[in-house]
Amino acid sequence: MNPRRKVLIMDDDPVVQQLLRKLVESRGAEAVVAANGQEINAILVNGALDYDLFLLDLILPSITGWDILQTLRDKPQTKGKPIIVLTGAVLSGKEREKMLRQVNAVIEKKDFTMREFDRLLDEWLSDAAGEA
Amino acid sequence: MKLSKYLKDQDLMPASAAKPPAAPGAPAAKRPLPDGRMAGSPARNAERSTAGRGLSAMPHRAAAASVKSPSIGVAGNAWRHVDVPAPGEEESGFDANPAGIYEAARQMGIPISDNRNLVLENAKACLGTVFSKMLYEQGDSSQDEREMLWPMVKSIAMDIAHIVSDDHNILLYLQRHRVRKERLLWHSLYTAILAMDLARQMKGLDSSIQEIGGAALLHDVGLILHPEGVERLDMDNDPRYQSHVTEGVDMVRKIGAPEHVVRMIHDHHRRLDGLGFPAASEGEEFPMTSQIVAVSNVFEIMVIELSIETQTSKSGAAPANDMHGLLQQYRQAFDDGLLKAMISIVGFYPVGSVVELDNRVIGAVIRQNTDMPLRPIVKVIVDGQGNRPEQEKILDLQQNRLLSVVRTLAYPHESLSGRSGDPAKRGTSALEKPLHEKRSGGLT
Repeated sequence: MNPRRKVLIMDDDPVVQQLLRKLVESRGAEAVVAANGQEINAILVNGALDYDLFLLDLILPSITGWDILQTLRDKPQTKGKPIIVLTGAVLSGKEREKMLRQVNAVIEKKDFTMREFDRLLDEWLSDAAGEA
Repeated sequence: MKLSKYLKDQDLMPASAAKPPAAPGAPAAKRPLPDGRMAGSPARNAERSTAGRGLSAMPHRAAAASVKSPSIGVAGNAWRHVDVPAPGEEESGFDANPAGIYEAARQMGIPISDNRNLVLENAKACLGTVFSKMLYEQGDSSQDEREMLWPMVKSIAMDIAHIVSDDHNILLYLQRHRVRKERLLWHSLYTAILAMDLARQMKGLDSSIQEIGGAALLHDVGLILHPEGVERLDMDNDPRYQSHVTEGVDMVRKIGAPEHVVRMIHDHHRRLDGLGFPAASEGEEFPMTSQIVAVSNVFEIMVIELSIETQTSKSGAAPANDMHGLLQQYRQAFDDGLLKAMISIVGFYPVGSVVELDNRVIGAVIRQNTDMPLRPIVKVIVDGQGNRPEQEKILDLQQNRLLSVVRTLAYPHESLSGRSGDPAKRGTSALEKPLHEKRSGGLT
């Protein structure tokens, strides 16, 4: 794994933040955590946007995942970069299908496994994915 | 009439309360969940028995029949220091129904800290955002954005579902409304927590827990169309208040929620006896899922949001127990089984209530005993002689069978259900602060 890979974790739950950070860093990538709308805006508006992967909780304080998705799609530096959404909801097939039109993968927290998350990191954070 | 007798007569006594008391030292019987599983993980059961061991580790003097009613003058039997775990120190209810992501965190050695209050604060903020988007959804928002709102609401419901603890000490973890204008948000959140906990106990529901939680989160969304505020509306007679039901139904339909969810919102002010609104047509069903949201709405307001002013009759006799009054008022409104389940969650004497015991001690309820809802754990405010104890005194009425609650003096007040995990910070000002006025009229 190329250590230059950088992942932005957008989640308000400290437990999930720690878990995702550990899993990302265990693969040699750098993890940056933003816990709420203010922190995310600070990064997306003023910060460097050299991220290779975005992990996004659908529900965050003071901002919705949708607003963040819009911003990521609109900015040239982030447009086209892979986005994985995390949700506590159990989605219907139709809801999942609609969401996958906007993002690259959807993780339901209830069914989260480290093996599946590793597979997604392989798929979206590999050198090949980064060059796509 | 004593509450316990009333409940027995009306067949409203929860099954758990009807069980014979366990022999001293016997482990508490495990209560199966509706789907047959045993409540709590082995770790959680061990945790609960740890608390039990903390109690029985104290020298226990057998309550011999010859011992008279304990008073402050009698040492030992009346007062024992009990190591009641403060709610913040206990592991959360996550492990009762662990989400995969928390299991993964546990495997990675990440401590599952009690972040209930943070979860609630975040959920409140998220729900506020959803409400704003629903208010303006006819404006610039796209179809895609509107279609994301219902999954977002379900996500909020699942996030706060972890607050639902199978030890039913929910009120320990709920905050008071600190900002008046946020009352609708807190009411929606707490209603959803109650509704989801109820739903977990009921069988054969045709909606999932997250859908019931989502419906409860949105049940009053129609009120956001009335920026003048709920408290200024005459709830019983003002058609603007009653219109929030149909307005909410329209709003929730527009975000693509399923029809059975819309139904729960439509029904949230209905009653089994046909009272309430919107008026039911003859033979129209009042589904159990709708009753769950409706009864949660009522109990959230009457037990959690409001403190009921202590009233005395002209003769100066003690006021009737208000849970008694609440049950009498809603006995015909909801299914008996549902009311029983609600009582087992909220408790006959909800956390934060100020109660008087039969030895004239006045105390604040700080925790429920899950298997004995009439016998909570009480922190002494005033002893039988009218004095405040010099040291913290805790009474576990499940352990001390000689004592019973005779009446409720006050219901949960802001000062009694604060976030502090320190029991010493609860209940001390219960008799000093004025109680809120009871909201007039019945809630339907």
